[in-house]
Amino acid sequence: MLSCKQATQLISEALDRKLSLGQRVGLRFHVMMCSACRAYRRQLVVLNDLFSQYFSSERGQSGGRGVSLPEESRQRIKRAIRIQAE
Amino acid sequence: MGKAPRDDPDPEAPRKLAGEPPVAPACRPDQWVDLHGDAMFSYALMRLRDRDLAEEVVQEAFLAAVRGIDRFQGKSSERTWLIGILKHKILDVFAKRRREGPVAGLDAGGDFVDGLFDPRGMWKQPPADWRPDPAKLMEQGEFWAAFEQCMEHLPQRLAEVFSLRVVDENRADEVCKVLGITDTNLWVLLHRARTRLRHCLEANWFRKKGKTAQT
Repeated sequence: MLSCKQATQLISEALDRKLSLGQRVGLRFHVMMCSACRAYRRQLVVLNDLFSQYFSSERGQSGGRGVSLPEESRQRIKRAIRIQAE
Repeated sequence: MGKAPRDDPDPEAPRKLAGEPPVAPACRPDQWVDLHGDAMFSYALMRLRDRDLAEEVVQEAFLAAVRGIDRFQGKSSERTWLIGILKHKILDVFAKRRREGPVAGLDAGGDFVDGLFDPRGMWKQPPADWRPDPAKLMEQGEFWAAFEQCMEHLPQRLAEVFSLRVVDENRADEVCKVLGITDTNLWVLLHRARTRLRHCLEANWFRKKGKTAQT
């Protein structure tokens, strides 16, 4: 039987690729018996969908924590754009 | 759901009737830095984690946009178009790094995952039983701030694979090529990144917020 450590690796891999039949069967059996890995899988799947939804939104693409481009490079980049645009 | 007042006609109405495409929004490079500079910078910084490099790449992206301004057709917003250009510039940085040195950091984060399990591979500390509510979390700025902090604590290599694959949704084979790693490397690294992020969000958000974050 799979250990929890092996099962979590497969739970994550299942988000990236199709597991082999043997892996799917082994994982299904493990998760049926193991509430900790069930919680891990549920959380990983929801978080994965959430990330995908958020980062394809305009808000997610812009980052939310108010990082500012430093004034000095702002001015430098503006100058460079002006020169390039001429 | 109020209708627009009759004395304020839709300026595009005649064009719509004539079946012409809507006018592309004004594309004004002299305003880009003020309108999009911060967003571009934070986008690059999260992915590159180096302020100087992020500033440099943002400048390159803006200049490439000026050169290619004729290709902007107003199908997407100006912001989305600029971010798309920035995304390519960032991939170039990764590809350049890859060409310049050996692939490092493949063992990043392995110890952390090992530490969650006992020698038989059983959980030492099983995941807590929280149930994320995606609709609510989407709207919570604080949650995304916590997420970004967790991202900053990931080892560099894990942050890279996570950003390229999960955040930017590049194809797996593209990510492997750009970083010079195999499929198997990618799956292991993504697993470590997800496991650390899950653990970090549990500690810094779901445990703290308790019931408010649950369904």
